[in-house]
Amino acid sequence: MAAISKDEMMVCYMSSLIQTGDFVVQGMGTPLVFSAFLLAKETHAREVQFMYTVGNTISEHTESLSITYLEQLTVEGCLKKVKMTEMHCDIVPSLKVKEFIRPAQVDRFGNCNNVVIGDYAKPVIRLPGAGGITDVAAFNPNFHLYVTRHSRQTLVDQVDFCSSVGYGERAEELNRMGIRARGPQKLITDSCVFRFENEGAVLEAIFHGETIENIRENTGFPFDLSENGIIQIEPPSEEQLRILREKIDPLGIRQLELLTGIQRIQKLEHILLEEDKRRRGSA
Amino acid sequence: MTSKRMSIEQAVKPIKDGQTLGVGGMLIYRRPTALILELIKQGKWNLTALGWTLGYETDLLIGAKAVSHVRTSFFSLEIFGLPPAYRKAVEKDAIKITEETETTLGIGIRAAAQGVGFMPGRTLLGSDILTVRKDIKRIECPYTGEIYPAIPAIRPEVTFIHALAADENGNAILGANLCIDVELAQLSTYTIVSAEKIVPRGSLPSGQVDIIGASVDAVVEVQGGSWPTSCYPDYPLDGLELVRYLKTMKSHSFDEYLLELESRKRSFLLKMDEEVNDGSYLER
Repeated sequence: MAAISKDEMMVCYMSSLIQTGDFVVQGMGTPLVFSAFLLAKETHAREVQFMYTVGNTISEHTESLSITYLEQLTVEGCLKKVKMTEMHCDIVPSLKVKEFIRPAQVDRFGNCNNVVIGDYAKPVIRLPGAGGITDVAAFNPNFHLYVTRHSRQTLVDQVDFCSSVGYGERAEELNRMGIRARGPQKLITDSCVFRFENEGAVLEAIFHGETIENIRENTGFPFDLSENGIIQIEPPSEEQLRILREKIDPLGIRQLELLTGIQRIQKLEHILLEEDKRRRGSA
Repeated sequence: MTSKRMSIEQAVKPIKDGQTLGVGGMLIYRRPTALILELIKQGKWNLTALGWTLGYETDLLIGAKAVSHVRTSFFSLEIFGLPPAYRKAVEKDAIKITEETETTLGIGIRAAAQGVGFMPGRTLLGSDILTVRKDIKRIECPYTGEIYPAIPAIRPEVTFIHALAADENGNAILGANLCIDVELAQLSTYTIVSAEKIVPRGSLPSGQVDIIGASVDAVVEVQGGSWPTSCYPDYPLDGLELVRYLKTMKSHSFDEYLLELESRKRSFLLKMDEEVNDGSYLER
């Protein structure tokens, strides 16, 4: 069996945070998260209900990952179609759905940035925007953050622009509103897992082969070590890897979240051509 | 009842420079690309694009310099990444952005529908969105004393929606990705629905209509009207066309991309016809 990659370690860990009966949001452009949900459903959490941002549906139907047919997957066999206003302004605040969110930058309090890198008025990189993360972070106690590259560029001392609020000073105004049970729970990287407390990030687990020293070197914010000791996360089992590689995501769509620039475009093209070939083959 | 059916040229003509355009569809799905291309052809400019999410279709408008202001929570080509024309325009300071979140949009259009100036929301406090959105003030709840941001009402002036099927009155079926199309159509003073096919009055399936005719002013038949974004279940996303867009924007220019787009759409329609005929189109 091929060596275990970082995306596979992340997917398996994230899937362990899903329990049967969970109501989860599958957001925009996050196949790594979708892989984790599907792996949980295939192994230990048979009953998972999805809110699909692509398709705008509530569904219990799943299939293997696809780019071309993602919309079809989310719509066919769905329980209900919803408008985005209904999804975001009614369902999400009422039902506190479980979600994994990927910020471009995050600080030790879980404040996130998905708006700009650099100065807002003259950005180095314009990012997609806050989406619904600002809102979810303000009322949902049931979500986690993840980043696919553990580095000082991503895990920063100060976010360039705070598009969603975690804990600490920035959360004071929300706290005064009486909304205390909120904010991100964990931050999962390709090296380790932090949890958030009011005083900041606490390292609680590391992936196989990682060291605390290495993590400190690549983290732009200070953090404490968990008082209960640091958990060594077990590598994925052969069974988990087989399901992920053969059934859930044979084309490696989840890996797009780890790629940038021309490498990403090439991978996209490869996947799309492969999907087209398979479709023609089945016709 | 009089028919609202007209040509695409006629439908787009009344749109004035500087108006706020509500963009239907979601992410890279069922976006009104044919109407957008007609807008570019007619040389409209200085428009504001308003959408829950904006993507390929609005990136075309920015490439053509038709849009000078965007209002959205998320401007992205989804898994295909950052939209190149938008990114370039922002980095050259050539476009104004009103930073939105899903809640500022959702509550803003609900306030507009109610005819009130704002509605409160449980969001934004502590974030830099409130720093850059200087128009958003805080308000004290008269019942609990809590402080909320007062989300201002938002109203598009014109709206473009692509539908699966519509009748001549504008009643329309959207298929999937309802997004905020219903609200955009209802709030606009002028709404155009383009549809893959226009069907006789009374033949839309009962109880399945998404857009009501009373909210529509013009109806246009356009086959492939949301290509290369999808129109479920008629055709899926054409991801390879989006890859071609990204590549052309890297190595050539927007104008060169636009120049070839019409002929590529023709080949898409031909290919679709063939595959619909041999039954292979939506096979997976």
